[in-house]
Amino acid sequence: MRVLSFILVILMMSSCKPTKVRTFKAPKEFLPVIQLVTSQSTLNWTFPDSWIEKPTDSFRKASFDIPTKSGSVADFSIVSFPGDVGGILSNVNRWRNQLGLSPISTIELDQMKEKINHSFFDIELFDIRSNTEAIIVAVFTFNSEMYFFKTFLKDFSSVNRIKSELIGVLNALEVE
Amino acid sequence: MKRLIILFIFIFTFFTSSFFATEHYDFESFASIPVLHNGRLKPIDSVARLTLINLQEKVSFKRNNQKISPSQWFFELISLNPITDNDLIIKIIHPDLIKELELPEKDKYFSYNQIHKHFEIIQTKVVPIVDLEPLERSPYQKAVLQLWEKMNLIFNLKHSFFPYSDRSFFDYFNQYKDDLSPGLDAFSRYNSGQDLNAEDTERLVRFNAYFKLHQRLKDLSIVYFYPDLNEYNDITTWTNTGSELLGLLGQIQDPHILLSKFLNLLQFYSDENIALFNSTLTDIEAFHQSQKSFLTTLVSLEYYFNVFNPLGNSITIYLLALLASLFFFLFRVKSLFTLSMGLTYVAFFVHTVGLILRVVITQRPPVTNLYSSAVFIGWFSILMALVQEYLFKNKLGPILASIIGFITLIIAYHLSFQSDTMGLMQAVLDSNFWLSTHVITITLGYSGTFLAGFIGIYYVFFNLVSSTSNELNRQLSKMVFGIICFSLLFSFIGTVLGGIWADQSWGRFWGWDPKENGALLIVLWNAFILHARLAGLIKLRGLMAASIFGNIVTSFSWFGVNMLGVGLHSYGFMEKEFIWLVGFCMSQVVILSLPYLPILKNRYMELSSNLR
Amino acid sequence: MHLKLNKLFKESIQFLSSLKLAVFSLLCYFVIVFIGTIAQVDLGIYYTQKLYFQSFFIWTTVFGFNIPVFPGGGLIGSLLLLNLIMATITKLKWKVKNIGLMCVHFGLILLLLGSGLSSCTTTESVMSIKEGETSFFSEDRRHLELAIIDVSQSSHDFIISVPDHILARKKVFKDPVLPFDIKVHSYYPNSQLYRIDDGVNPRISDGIGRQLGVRPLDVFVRDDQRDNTSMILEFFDGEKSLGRWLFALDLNGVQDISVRGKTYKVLLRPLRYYIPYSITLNDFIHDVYPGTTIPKDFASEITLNDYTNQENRDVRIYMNHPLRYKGKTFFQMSFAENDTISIFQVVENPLWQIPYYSCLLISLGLLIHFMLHLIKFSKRVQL
Repeated sequence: MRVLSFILVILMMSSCKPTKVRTFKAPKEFLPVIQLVTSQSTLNWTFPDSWIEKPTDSFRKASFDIPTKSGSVADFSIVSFPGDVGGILSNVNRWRNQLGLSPISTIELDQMKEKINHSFFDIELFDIRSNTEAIIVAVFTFNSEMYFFKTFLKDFSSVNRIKSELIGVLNALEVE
Repeated sequence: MKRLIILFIFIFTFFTSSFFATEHYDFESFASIPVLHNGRLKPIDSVARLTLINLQEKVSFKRNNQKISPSQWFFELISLNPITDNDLIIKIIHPDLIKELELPEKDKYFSYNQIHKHFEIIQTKVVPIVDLEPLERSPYQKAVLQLWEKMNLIFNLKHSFFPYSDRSFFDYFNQYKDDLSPGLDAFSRYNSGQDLNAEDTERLVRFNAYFKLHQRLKDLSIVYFYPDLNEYNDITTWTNTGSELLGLLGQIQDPHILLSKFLNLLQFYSDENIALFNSTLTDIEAFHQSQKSFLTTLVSLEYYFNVFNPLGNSITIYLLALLASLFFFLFRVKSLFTLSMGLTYVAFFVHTVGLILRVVITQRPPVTNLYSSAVFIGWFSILMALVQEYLFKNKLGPILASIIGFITLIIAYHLSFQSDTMGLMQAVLDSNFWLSTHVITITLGYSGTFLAGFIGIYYVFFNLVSSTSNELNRQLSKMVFGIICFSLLFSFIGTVLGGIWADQSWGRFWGWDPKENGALLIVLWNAFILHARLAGLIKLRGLMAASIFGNIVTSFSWFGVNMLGVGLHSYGFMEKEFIWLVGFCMSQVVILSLPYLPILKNRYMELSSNLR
Repeated sequence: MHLKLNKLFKESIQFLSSLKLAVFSLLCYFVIVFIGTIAQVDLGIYYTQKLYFQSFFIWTTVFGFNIPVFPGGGLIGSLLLLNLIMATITKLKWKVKNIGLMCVHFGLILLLLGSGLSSCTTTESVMSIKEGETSFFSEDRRHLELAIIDVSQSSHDFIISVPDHILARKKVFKDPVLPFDIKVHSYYPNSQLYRIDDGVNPRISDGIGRQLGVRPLDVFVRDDQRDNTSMILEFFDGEKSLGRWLFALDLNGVQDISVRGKTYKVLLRPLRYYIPYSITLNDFIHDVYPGTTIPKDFASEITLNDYTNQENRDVRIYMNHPLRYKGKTFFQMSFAENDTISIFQVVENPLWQIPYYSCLLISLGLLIHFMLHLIKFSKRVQL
């Protein structure tokens, strides 16, 4: 009985074992980079001189015509929406539909995703091409709004140049 | 049979209306019509009473020294009779607010017109208050918010049918019906991209105006008159006037049968055609009766419950019984005891009927909120008091029963002015086996502890006024002991069931929530009494004092924890009741310390040892 | 000497099993519960639980000294438990007559023991999922972790989690699994961050913290407020300092720390419990009573997907109908952002059934005991 009461006292006295250092292997997840942005902060961008600015409307934050070798113009726009606008997959499939392509799954989406290195933003680039046309879109979140930098090309004559110019624009994004 | 009755009523109304000069609007029939309001199907009578309670914290009111029935007032309000705008039915108690609105400072009740002048002031004041947490609001801010809510309530009710008084709803509706199909044509032409001529444009503009108004009516109106004709029992399908009017926009169809009836009703009312008014009401009643739904039965039951008010009436009978038993103790005449016993039985019967009716009407267990817990605690304590009277024949039954009945029902009566006593419960509290058993067993525990406490009080007073025999004291002590055992059992089981419920709902058996703690306090106190008695630490006097202290413990866990304003499932929050609670606790402390006062000490002898 | 000890032992057994101790403990417990309930108005449930119900003493400050003024719930609970056990063994006569009382005492022992133990074995956490998204972890609402994440593998992330209570106590923390040693320069249980417009924070050498100042705050006691814990940490590769960083709960993102050519993403976040399966929220349903905004029902339609045993099924979690899976129970707790996020309470308590058994035992015991009394009593009444 002495033993019994001893055990009981020990049981009651022993404080709960606190959590120790633990290690895990976990599925990949999006890790946001700290942003010191307040709601007043704005996004600043610079564009190549060859791009021709167009008037914007209530949806577009910026709008450009990009001349190509074949003489056609590619249409570039910056659009932002609050929230996540139905998720990236549904948007990508919407653009694919615009080009007459069939929808894709999340796995295929991950495969076609290109990451742009930026100190502030996690920018994802999607290069969607049909046989004749192409849509190249960069997507990221800022101030809890989703930004789309979208280029619509009617032919492939200058596609590589335009894509690298777009990446340049994205790299040069600044927050003020 | 029913048709026969209706025919009879029709003939009767016909004859009465033609034979008697003093015919009157049949607001009683109006009162019994079922409507959906705050998520529950109830008679208009209940809606009217609740509205008055919300506005003035009481049901009755007088206009020019004449009592007006709730349903009459309600009809006048929703039919936009301007007379209601001058009724003094809006209660404001905060003196600063009264001064600020330039109202007569001595009054407590004001009219819609008096306040409406300053509505914009109230509106601007309310905006920042709404953002505050309820606990952060000052009494003045609460008063402003309350007044704003009261004004909104009236405003919403004025949108029950048609919100403008310069035009009759009947005329408006007929105009609307005539405009409907040309408007729809113009709309479809516009949609298909055709050019519109001036006439079409005007139609379209009007069509748009209709749409906006009806949308507004739909959003504002809180009384749902119209059941789905095929799904009468599914209360989610019931609609309000705005929805019905909007529904006509979509496709060409006949208006809801009840909408046509109400249109007529309002028209006959403004035409002061009493006979036709009453017969339209009969038609509406007949429509609902013809649905043969158990819901209409419940609604009419609720109507009769309101009218006959069994719980309110039993208060009076308990009071009479209390008087009779007090006289019995004064004069010791046996017939007085018989009288008090009889009255107690009658009161208890009425009380029981009320309790059962509430269970039937709400289709819920007897305890769902603070109000019903008061009714139930009282009921069960009385039952126990009567059972002990049957067992011991000590003539204690009527006085205990009537005093407990009177007090608990008075408490219930005051609680009934706080909200709908049959109202809905929060989702987490809704329909759960563990919860209902928990609440009922715990209230049984409360009842027992209270009864023991009241016996304790009886002991103190009885020994104070007359020297009693050892025998009676011994009996009292036994009774208290037995009842405390009972209370321990039930409050423990109740607490455990509460734990099980919490475990089922939140995954934790015990969370030190105030309500849980309150129940635990009763368990601990009762366990303390039993063990202290067993250890010989308390004897007769101590047992009685401890059981009176049990009253304090019980009232703390019943009401006190709700006043703390924390916790997951406090079922009500009150303020001025706090003073009452403190007063009650003080009185209990005074009573329980009486036997310990040096000058009274020799009146409270401990039991002689040979009898123990 | 031995005799004396024996006497002392006997006396202490006597004392521990005495009815007077039971009465004393019950009364003390009554007082503690009462005070603790009142204290919740200012302190919130979490802190009252710590200060009153689980502590061994209730402390108060008198002239700057912390002195114990009353035994705490932990002490009295243990005393009651000891008393119960001793009384059951030494006092209670093992007879049929007492079978009810024995049940009650055994049940109470089980209940007290179980609740004492389960306060150690229970973990409560919260999982919030957006509609259409999948989660594989829940978060503790009270405890934090410094997560050091190696993202170099393409298939998965490797996470080292250092619980914040280690950092709160230790000046220097070394662990073989860590890629670097951690020196804690400052630890603020609650703080406010502010932006430094001119210049930099001299206490911080790297990362976002250079632009931020830290203002210590008192910890919040209300249950709905959350402390912003922050800390200034210096990392060492052996003797070589890698720099000083600021970490705070409010800094909602990672900072990169490179050591020996490898970059780790580090952040302070609520302590996570990973689950070896995933939960996808398909739909959150929020019904109201007709014609009102009073909630009638919350429900979450989820898909449970367990890769280990290929269990894949749809479950509806709603009020009073939790999901129990692999030792964890998921309760519908709340919702957010216009009904698009569902929040679950995740409870892991291996001893969750103990209260059920003990309460069954006690209720049965009380019933039997009082029934026996009642029978005895009614016999007497009839006579």
